Amino acid sequence: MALDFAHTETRKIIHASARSFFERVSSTEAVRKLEASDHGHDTESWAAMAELGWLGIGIPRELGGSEGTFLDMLPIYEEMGRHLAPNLHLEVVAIAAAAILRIGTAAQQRRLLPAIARGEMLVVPTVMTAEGSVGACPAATYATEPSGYRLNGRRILVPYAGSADRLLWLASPGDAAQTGTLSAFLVDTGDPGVSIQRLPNLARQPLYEVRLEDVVVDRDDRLGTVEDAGPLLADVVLEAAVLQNACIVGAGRRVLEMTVDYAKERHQFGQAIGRFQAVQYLITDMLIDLHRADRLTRQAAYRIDRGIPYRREAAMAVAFTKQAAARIHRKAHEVFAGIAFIEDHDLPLFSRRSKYWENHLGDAGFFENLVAAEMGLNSESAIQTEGSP
Amino acid sequence: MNVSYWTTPRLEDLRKRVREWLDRELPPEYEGFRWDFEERDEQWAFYREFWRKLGAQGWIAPTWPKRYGGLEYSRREAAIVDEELDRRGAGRLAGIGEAVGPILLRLGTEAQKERFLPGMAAGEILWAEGYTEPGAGSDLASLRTKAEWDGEHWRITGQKTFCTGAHHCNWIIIAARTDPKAARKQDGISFFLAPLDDPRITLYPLHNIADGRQNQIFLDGVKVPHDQLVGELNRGWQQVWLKQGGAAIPEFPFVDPGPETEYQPEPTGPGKILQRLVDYCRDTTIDGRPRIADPQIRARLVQMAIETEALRLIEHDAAPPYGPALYQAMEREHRAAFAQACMEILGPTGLIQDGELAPLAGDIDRLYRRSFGNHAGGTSQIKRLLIARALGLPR
Repeated sequence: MALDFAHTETRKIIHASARSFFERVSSTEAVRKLEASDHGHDTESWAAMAELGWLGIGIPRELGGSEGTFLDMLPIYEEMGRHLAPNLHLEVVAIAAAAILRIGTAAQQRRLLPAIARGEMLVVPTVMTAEGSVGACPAATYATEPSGYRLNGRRILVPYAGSADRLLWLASPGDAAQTGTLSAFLVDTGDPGVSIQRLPNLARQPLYEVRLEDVVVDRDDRLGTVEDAGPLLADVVLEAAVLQNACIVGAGRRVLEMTVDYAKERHQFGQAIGRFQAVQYLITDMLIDLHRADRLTRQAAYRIDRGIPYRREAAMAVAFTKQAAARIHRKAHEVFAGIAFIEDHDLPLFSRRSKYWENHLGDAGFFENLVAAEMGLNSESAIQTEGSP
Repeated sequence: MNVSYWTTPRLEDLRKRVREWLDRELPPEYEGFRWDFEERDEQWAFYREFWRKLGAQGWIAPTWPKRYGGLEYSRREAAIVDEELDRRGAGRLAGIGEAVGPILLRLGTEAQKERFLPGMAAGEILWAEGYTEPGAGSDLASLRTKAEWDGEHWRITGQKTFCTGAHHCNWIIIAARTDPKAARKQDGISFFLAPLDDPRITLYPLHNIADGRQNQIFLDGVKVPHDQLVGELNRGWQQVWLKQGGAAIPEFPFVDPGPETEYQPEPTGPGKILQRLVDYCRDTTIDGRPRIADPQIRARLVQMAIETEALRLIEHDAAPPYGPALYQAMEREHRAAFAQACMEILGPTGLIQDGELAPLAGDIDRLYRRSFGNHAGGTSQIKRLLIARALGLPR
């Protein structure tokens, strides 16, 4: 009864080429530059990724994609995390393109996916609600009209809205009868009813508040024909969160390496601080957390890739990894102490980005609730007692 | 990558045979036996017999060569046997000295292998471990029991302690110092095999808080012939303890053209307890509502489930990075934290050990008391130091 977590030879090659690619385009200087920039988006490396076929992974060849499986994305995300590359691939490929594939009509897929795979169209989803939760948002509604839909509302923490061509706007029907259902709409960011406001944030990521005021879209800009796209979107988001886990693991590995190196080099009291058991405990704690996050993530990714039931394992992996991320970075700071409190040290680049990953697409608590649901812990009487669904 | 469990028709045949054998041979009242935490006579009487019967099937040491009493099973087949034994909570007696089998396979002379292995595989020989001393626990290499050559025999003198279950065993493996002048303490240690019915060996009981019995063992010039030395003289620490060198332990390949299908093994260990705890929280009420309605309890159950799942994955990892110490540290710490969390979920009624009012038939009480035995085989702190070293942190 032995489990094999190793990547295949093909995936090892993808891993190696991802490492050398992101080493080149995403040095810590490049990361700082993007953090200080207006849009936080590097068009050159995006075009290079398109050329490598990485924007088309999971998209069928006849729609301009490069095929490839979910697991093939794992090593790329590990390296994106390790090098703190922009998180744009997650939004455009892992969520928007995946949603179009899963929910969209054949015509919509033909219209959108080839351009996305070529790097010519940036579509970003609006997953976070105006309150900072996930999914359906009372503040984002649509009304059905003769020729299409009228969208109103606001959502926050939308990544890369300032660079996007389109938003994949998630909204619920304006009438009470259908509360809770969710649909996705393609919104042109150039539409005059769209206003985008950058949100200054701890992670220095390009996150925006987006307001829609009477934005009218065609029938054909509603994704798919299913009445409630909520469950399908929830799956897409959960799968994307597993990929985001890989970023956390990739970054965590680098942070562990940095911390071990520092503990070996930094001398106090006539010896390397890595000799002190207090420091060894902090570091071994980091490794144990990192390793658990890695194995839970690989299991979830494996199950998604194989098309077998994965929600419980994915929710567990995501809840755990978000919490582990916080612990790993906190302990790294404990080892580095004073010098990593200073702006120009590399560690804060990681710990600040980690805070974004810990919260994006939902926080650990959100995914713990998913685990509880998958474990069947949410009893009827529990729901009544708490008075909330 | 393969994070699944796979079986074949032939493996399922084996599973069926083991399962049916257990249905015949293991009555429910003997399920859940732990050799290290059980001292009731009727349980031991049953298990001595059960162990011999298991040995007669070849299932005590199925991966061993046939000439030593094994069945030459591959690891996959042995895993099926293990799964079924675990599923029924069948006791294992080999746990007492389970290291001795591999030690003999690697380092034993042919005579030693022929003399001991078949009896072990048949369930006749049980090994006690004479390693730890009052002054040598985590720092085992500082042991002081000595073995001196008198021209005809090795004479072993010293005191061992915490020898779990030694009073149930018939043989003991003893770590002794054979070269007191060696520059490094690790370079003068040897391992010997001795029968426990030797008049110069005296056992004194140490009863632990988890209902198990350990022993102090006094060795008063025990006479051991030279052919009961295992491995090279003075190289015991490296060869036996650190598992360096010796012959490769024979492994038998899994040969089965049958189609593979996926399966999910039933949860065992903490996973199984957790499932029972979830059911308990659903089926019992506190202050007028089911325990499971309490969001704090749900949150705790979720955390326990995630940590238990992570542990399961790492336990079965075919290629663990940084060696066995990573899993070992995690498992010890999980054992303690899990037991603590179980008790917190039960609350005050968790104090009740027996009778109608004891939650989960007292199984959490036992789990909790046993969790303080998580130092066995090396404390988690030592394992952490080993991991630190494997990471390259300085000694």
